[in-house]
Amino acid sequence: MAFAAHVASLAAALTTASARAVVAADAEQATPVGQCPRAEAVRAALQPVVSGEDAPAAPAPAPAIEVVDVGDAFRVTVNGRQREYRDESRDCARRARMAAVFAAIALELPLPQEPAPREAALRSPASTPAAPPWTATTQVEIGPAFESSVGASDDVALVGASARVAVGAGRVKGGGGVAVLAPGGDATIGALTVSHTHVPIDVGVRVVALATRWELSADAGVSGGWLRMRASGVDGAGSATVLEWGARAGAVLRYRAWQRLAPFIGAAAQVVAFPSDLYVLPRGVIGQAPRVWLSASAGANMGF
Amino acid sequence: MARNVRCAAIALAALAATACTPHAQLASELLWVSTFEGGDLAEWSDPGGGGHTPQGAPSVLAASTEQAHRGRYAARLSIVPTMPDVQGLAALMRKSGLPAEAYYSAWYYVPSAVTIEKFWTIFKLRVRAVADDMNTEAELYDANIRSQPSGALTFWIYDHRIAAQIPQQTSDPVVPVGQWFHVEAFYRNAQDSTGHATFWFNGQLVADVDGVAMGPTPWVEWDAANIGANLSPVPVTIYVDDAAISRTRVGPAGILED
Repeated sequence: MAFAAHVASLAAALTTASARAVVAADAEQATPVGQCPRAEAVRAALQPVVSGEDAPAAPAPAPAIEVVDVGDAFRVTVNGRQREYRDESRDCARRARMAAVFAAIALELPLPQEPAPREAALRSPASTPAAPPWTATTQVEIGPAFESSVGASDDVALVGASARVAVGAGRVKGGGGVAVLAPGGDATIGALTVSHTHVPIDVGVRVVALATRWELSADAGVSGGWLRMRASGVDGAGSATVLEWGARAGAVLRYRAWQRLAPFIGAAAQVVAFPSDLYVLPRGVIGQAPRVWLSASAGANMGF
Repeated sequence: MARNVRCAAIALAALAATACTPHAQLASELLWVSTFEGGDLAEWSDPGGGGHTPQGAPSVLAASTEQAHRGRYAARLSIVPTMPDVQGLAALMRKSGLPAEAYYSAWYYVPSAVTIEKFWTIFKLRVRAVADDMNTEAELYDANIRSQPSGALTFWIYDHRIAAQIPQQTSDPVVPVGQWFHVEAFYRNAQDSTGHATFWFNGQLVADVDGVAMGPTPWVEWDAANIGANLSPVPVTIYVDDAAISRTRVGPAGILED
């Protein structure tokens, strides 16, 4: 049984190589960062491939295999072929299965025709669906958005679309967003009916927390915006445009349903440092533009 | 817009919460404004339908930097009524094309006390018997200043049709010397009983005439003026600034421009 012999050889090699690997420092680190997965777990993940048969020891030289834990990712090297998988949840059992599968593929082992062993290797003991590797360094979120004001002279409701970009491989990413929002209803300020058009923009950082398929992000940054107000209701009514700036904080929840695509919902608050005084000549100030914008959005998160 | 851009630039450059509140003008109910900041009297002629008189000595009517309610300029109106019972006149006029209903206002400054033996008018509403015939112009209401025995100057409204003072809601409001004061009138020039005229002095209601016909035609003239006879000492000078015609009341707190 050639297949069983190869697997046995691989498991033997792994015992040595992985034991070395789990204590080996990453090339860019001064000290080891962990033992996830452990060599025993990888070897165990390979056992189902043997299909329960006793395999003779392989006469061929053992292949060079390394599995290096680098914190929120792990790196598998088999005969010089290397692959790094992100796994911020540090699911060691899952890591072991993924390392075993990569090793088998890299060594071009003649896998059996029936899919059962490989599927079993990928399946968790509790049959919980494993999240696909999420290695994207650029994430784009696009979707419809709703915005409402707080602290304005009257309630303002806007609807439109938003887009956000997050760039970075770790838990902390840089990014920003923009939205285009049109009146969902008119505000009443004194005798005026005012419709708002708002284009907020922001740049800042995103901190990501991950729990298997669910990913929660917190955003914070500086914001600006273009706010146009069109008045009606009195003779001589017109429009005015102001530029606003301030700070923004938000949260986004994603469900990693597919390799590169995840639905998301998000909410944010933008505080305007100096909201504009709204005035009518000759009466003077009749109100104030929104001091706080609350927004909500939903849509698709795409990874690249 | 430019102001808002400046505000944002300043604030971002400073990276601090400096007080720089932008303004957004949503509407203007002003129909016409004169601030004299062009350094001349052109606002009273443009667009057409106004003017000023006279243009030469002995009276003087010109933009001046000697006093200003806001900005650098105001109009200086000086008259020299030296001959008894002969009036001196310097007037800024808006006429023709004025709406049937509007608020007329201006700020005034009397630099020194004046003794008034006959009359002194600073604000006028006029009519025409035939709208397109300038020879049919006539007086309607005058806002006047008179001397009290104490020497104080007080404000009152004269109705030419009855040749008498209108009964006043506030009697004899004192005209301050050396301070700017605000005069405003609401005038609905109706030819039926819906006519209405109201006068305020520094925001205080002085007189109100309602439910009577006003001018015989829709034609309206409004003057900010310095017209008087038997005044002393001469020359008699006043300054006028920040005049407006508005759909809504301006009042002393009104804003005429951004």
